[in-house]
Amino acid sequence: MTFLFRFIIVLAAAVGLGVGLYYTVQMLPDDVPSFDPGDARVRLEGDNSQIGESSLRPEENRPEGFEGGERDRDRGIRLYALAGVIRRFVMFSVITFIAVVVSKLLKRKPARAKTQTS
Amino acid sequence: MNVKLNFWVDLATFAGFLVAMEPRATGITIHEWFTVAAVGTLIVHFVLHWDWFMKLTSRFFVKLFHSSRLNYLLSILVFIGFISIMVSGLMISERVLPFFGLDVPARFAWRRIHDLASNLTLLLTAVHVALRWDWVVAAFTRILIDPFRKPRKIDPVLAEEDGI
Repeated sequence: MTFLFRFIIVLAAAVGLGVGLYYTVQMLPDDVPSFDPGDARVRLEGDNSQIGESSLRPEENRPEGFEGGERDRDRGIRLYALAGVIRRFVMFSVITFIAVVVSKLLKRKPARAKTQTS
Repeated sequence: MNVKLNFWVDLATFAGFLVAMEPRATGITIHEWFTVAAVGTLIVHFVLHWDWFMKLTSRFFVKLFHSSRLNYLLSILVFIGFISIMVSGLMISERVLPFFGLDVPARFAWRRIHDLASNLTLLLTAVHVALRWDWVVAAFTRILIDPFRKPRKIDPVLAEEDGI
């Protein structure tokens, strides 16, 4: 029961933060329209009377980002995708290693000072 | 605090986060549903550390310059980071929101927030783990190595409440 109560409190805090973030971003002035290479190509080719942010479906109105290649997942698992997971794991390990070394060094300093005074 | 439960929840959250950060590996559908499910894991992680969090909240200024205080602030930042990832992810969602019949106007800001929050949260999580490194090593040894060794005394690192 206590667990459920705490779970609801944390969930409520998460929802509150989420709603706050949503309205904060919505209050921002209109940002730069997303760039779609296909959209630009059609514009260059001529008839662009139907082209506009409102005429595009949400998935068409998104920039070609890191997930550009994931819609054609039927072609199977890509090695570079697995390499991406490994790359992030290595990056995480390196940051953790550096942080551990720094925190150990910082913790050691007062201990050394203590032994010198005694 | 149940060390075993904490360890497995933490490990699952970490593995899930790493996989979720590479949508090419899973495809957009799994990426989105997986991260929605991860909200539950994240909240469970926070609830499991409720006592630690509450004790530090009440005694934050008693021993201000202690690594646990930094970890406390980092925990809050990681929590905010994950919420930012979730909200921005939902706003650029291509599967989850349409599944519920919802359609939000696309804004480029959400994409930026999603990418930035993901990278920053990975960095903060790494530091968060580093500050609890002694616990990680002790728990790893106790759960994954000790069962294959002779029985020994409980590690004092697992018994202590980090700087409270």
